[in-house]
Amino acid sequence: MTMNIESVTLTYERAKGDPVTAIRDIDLEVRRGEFVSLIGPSGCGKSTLLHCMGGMLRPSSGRITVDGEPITGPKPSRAAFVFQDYSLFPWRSVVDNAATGLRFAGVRKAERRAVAMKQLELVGLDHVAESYPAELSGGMQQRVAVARALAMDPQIMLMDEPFGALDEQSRRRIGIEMSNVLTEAEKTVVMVTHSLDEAIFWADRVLVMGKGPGRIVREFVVDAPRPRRLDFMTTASFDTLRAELFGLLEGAPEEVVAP
Amino acid sequence: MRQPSAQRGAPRQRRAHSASLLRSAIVIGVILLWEILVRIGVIDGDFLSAPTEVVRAMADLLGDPDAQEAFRRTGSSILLAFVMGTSAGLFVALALGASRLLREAFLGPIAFVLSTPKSIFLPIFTLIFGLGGMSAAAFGAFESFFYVVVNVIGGLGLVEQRHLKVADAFGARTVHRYADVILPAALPGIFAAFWYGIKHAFLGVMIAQLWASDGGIGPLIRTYSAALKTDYVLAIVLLITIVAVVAGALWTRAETRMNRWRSTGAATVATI
Ligand SMILES: Nc1ncnc2c1ncn2[C@@H]1O[C@H](COP(=O)(O)OP(=O)(O)O)[C@@H](O)[C@H]1O
Ligand SMILES: [Mg+2]
Repeated sequence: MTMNIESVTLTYERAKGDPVTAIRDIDLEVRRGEFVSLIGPSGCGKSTLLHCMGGMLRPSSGRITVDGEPITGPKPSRAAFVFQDYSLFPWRSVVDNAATGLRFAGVRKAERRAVAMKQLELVGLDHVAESYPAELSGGMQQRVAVARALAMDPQIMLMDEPFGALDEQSRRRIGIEMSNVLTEAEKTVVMVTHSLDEAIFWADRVLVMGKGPGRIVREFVVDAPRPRRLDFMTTASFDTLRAELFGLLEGAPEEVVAP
Repeated sequence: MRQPSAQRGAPRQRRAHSASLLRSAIVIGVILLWEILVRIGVIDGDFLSAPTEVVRAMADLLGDPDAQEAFRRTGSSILLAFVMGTSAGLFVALALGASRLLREAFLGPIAFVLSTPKSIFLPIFTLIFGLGGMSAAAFGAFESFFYVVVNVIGGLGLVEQRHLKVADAFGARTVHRYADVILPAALPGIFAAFWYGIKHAFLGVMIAQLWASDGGIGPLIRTYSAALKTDYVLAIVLLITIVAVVAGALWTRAETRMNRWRSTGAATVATI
């Protein structure tokens, strides 16, 4: 599986006010089994790019293909989303939430619950399968959302600040846990994040986006095998990368010109 | 910080228990007092029959084929009014919910009619439909329609954009959007709509039948009132009250079950 993004531009037309070009001329290739993180200032078009990759938004120009086939709309078996606010259906039990996409795809109840159950085991939540989302902590809810995406066996997982709503500690713990789960499942992942640590820890490649309009300004390769352990964060190469990223983001990323 | 519920639960339960005892004591006390006052002649039994008389009249009514026929006719008028008013209301509300233009055009007028006493339109229904059961049913449907529309629209306001987005991202078709997101999210409003729908269908039919009708409970009450048979009138009122209370209790239970995923009780509709 290879996803190709070729000079993609997206302009939001607005009922009131001028149109906003959120991303311009993005070129990117995501290869099978790769973890890519997207980082950049707020409003630089990270979510917009991710939504385009998942077929939730149609680019104003340019094209996105998966193995040569153009993306025309959402298709969870190709690209499945994990959103920041979890957005589980509160009226459905955990296992039925995990089975949501399969239900929409017309999979029979017993079968889809069996598949969903397997994914819940993977994220360590099979013991709360019959609970309702309101009974779960934020971290648990987000793991259910990961299971919901995994249940579609997607070619690519698109995660938009998936751990952004969690407290620092759960965020790190669940982040590492999920990174390992997805590594072992040999998934391809594109993750938007605000956290430098998370961006480096997760990724094989970190893409830094700049504003006005959104584009990719730098790319860093993180050369360490996955799954990674927590102490990867204490290595010298992690520190060096982190310092470089920090300089780039806290300087004026708008001023940075792509090499 | 939440306190362990076991600590607060026990006294609260005890208080609820005492409250219901107190309530029963007062009701029984009032009934006893009423019986005594009628017996010793302080209250004129012709105007306010003693409770024992009312109970006897009720047994009488339940065995009387004419009364049974009246209850049956009123019941079917209410059912018809409920079905017509609720389905029309549901349909209109979903249409208004789907289109901002329709909402802007019609929600105002609907809310306005909701706030007016609808009995002033009653003569129109009698003119069109005559004195039969259809007239009462149509007026009942008219009464309930507006409450259904407003409550369903309120329910649609509970639908969250993020849930619709998830549905789209996970491949939902239109039928899934409705069945899996819109209806469950709007359920409290839909429940309220059904409740107000049946309540106003009931009120509408009763008002129409009391005002002018050739059959049903309304004429029955009119006849007994004219003959000063207070015990029978009170027995009818009591029967209607019992039906309403039982229906309300069943309704609340069904609603609680359907909404059990909601952790707060905020969504329960006041069944009055
Ligand atoms: N639906 C929309 N309509 C108009 N403008 C939008 C919409 N969504 C996002 N934008 C604008 O596009 C830009 C990029 O937004 P977004 O992709 O959400 O950025 P990020 O995820 O990096 O914070 C922002 O300037 C934002 O205001
Ligand atoms: Mg965003």
